[in-house]
Amino acid sequence: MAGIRVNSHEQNQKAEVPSLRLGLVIQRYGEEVNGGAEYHCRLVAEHLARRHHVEVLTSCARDYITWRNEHRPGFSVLNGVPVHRFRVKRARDPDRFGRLSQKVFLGRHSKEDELRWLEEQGPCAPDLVRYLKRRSDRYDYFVFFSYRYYHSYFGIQALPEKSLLVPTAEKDAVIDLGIFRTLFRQPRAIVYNSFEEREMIWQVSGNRKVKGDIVGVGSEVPSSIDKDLFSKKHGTQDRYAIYLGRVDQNKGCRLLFNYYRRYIEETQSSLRLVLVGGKQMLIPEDPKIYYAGFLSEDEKWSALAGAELLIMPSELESLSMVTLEAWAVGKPVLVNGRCDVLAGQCLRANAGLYFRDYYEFHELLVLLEKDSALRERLGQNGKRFFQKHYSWEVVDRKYDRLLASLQREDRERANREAPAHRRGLFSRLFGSVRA
Amino acid sequence: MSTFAAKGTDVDVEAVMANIRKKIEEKRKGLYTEAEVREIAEMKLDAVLDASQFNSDFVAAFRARDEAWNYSFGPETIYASSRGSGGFIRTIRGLLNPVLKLFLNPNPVIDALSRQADLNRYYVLLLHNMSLELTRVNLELTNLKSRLRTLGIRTDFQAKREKTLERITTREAKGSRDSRSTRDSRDSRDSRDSRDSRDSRDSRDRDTSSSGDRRRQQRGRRNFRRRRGSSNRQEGNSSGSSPRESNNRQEGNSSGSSPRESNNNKS
Repeated sequence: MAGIRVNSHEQNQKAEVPSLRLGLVIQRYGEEVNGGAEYHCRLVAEHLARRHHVEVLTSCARDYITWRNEHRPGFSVLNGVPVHRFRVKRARDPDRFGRLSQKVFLGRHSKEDELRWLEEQGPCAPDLVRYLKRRSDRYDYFVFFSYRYYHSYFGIQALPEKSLLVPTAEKDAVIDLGIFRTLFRQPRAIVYNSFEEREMIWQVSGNRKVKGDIVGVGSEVPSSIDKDLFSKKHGTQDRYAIYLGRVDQNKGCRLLFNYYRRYIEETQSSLRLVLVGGKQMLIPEDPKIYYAGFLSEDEKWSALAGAELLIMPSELESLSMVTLEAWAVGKPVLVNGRCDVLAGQCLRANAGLYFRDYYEFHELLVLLEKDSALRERLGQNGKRFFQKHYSWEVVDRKYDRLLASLQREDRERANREAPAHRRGLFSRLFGSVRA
Repeated sequence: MSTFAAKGTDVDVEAVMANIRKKIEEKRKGLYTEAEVREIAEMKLDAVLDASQFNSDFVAAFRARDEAWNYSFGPETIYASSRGSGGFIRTIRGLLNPVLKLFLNPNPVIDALSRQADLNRYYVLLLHNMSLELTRVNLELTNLKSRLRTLGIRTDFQAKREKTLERITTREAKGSRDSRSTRDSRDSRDSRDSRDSRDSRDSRDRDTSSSGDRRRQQRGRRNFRRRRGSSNRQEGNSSGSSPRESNNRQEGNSSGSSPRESNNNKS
């Protein structure tokens, strides 16, 4: 198995990091926000806040398409984490954004066009960037989430020496834009989600020299899960495959519906499909497809634990937290093999199968549906993989190690750059001894 | 599926995937793969417009032959003589200019005409750029149209392919059912035939064993047939007999004896 190679010495080494002042910058923030990067940021913020002084800097938007100001600007606290919200200057104009997207992704264009596209994509919050510049002394480091948005681009440009970037990059056209090529070379460190993501960013930007680590994110797995809670509440007694996340065309849900319905038609299988998450598209009316909507954490884990397997049809993923969550509860996954990250994770974890077309989907689902021993074995492999690489202990340790190394560098640089004439007699005489 | 041996040894995802792909490949022999279809669909379209339709040196050519299509107009043009240099006449006209200005002011006319000459040049440039843009847009449009057509073809092709695959799958399933049933029926027919042939062989043996009796029987049968044949000719052949029987009868009638009988006679 091609597993994650982590130096055992490094792994065991506990990085002693004094409490730091960290600013986590993200496009949207909140418990109700339905997005992978946003959820990722919230989990990281809540975990880092246990050891560091963490503040979240974000926009007032809740909707990622319009970026309308829905929250009140200013200071608030969410789950013990202070949050500063800044107004979005203007909502997105879909027509203009569409035209600019066409120009930027299909035609010849300049850097100015790309910047116009970035502004139009939003959330255009210049107040946030101004705040970063003005109050940078209050923070030791800023962690920017999602490379593709306004806040990351202009924030990192403003404070490259204090920036860490969690790119959450996917293999789409955005990554090929020229402005991001330079962006990936600017931050002090990059926190990657997977090998594939790092490889892709290396290829695009050639930023191998920038410090970085593959960290990802952990998940709060409850100590005990009531497997029957979901089926009792929703009256689903049949066996089912589950899809967790935004029910959205961009997440491959149309493909999932087409494949699943064709599969049922051809095999007359009794396996149902349960969908959990926000709805952004029409769900076909089919007695075999059950849309459960948003669920509480307990219900979500119960639904996951009661499923036969998780299906993840998305082609654009930088990590897929739900895949990790499925593995955390020992469930196998069937993922879209066109997503390098998902296929790579399945191979490394030896805990999931991946399809590239309908024929593979059909055969693999038949296999997983019928062979309970295979399901069990894949699930167990996934559980082991999750515990080894994505438990919070491991993730926390990696963040601390990265921050400690940045701090060490900063200290060394400060010592190097400190002008000798400003030192006192004592430090001039004994400075070298202390160093 | 037990072939992947999830029990006992650890599962290997790569091996499972390879096995599945092999299985699919065997099933789909002779059909385009997904990758091939994608390649066909994404094939670059040929150039749709001939470059010779548009002259990119249009402006340069116009500029080179400016005097052929445009006029040049300067402040002195209206005083110049049409005959050669006309220095004398130009001088006279220049001297009389204050007098002329008592009647009309030629300066706005001079300005307007020289401005018009410049404008003509701009119009040419503008027309050129417009036609260039138009050609580009036209090319794009044609390209998009072709792409749309290709996508349509691709969709149709996919639909046909799906149908073919479905047909193949159903035919295979049906074929396996049919082959099972035909095998059963063939078995029963074979056993029946062998039984019949055994019977006939037995009877033949019986026939040859008692030749005297047989000759007597043959004579009796021949007489009986002759009598019956004559009566059949009178009544017609459609008297509730089966086709096979009637055929045998016809053959018998034509030769005067049944094949088996004739054989026996020869022997």
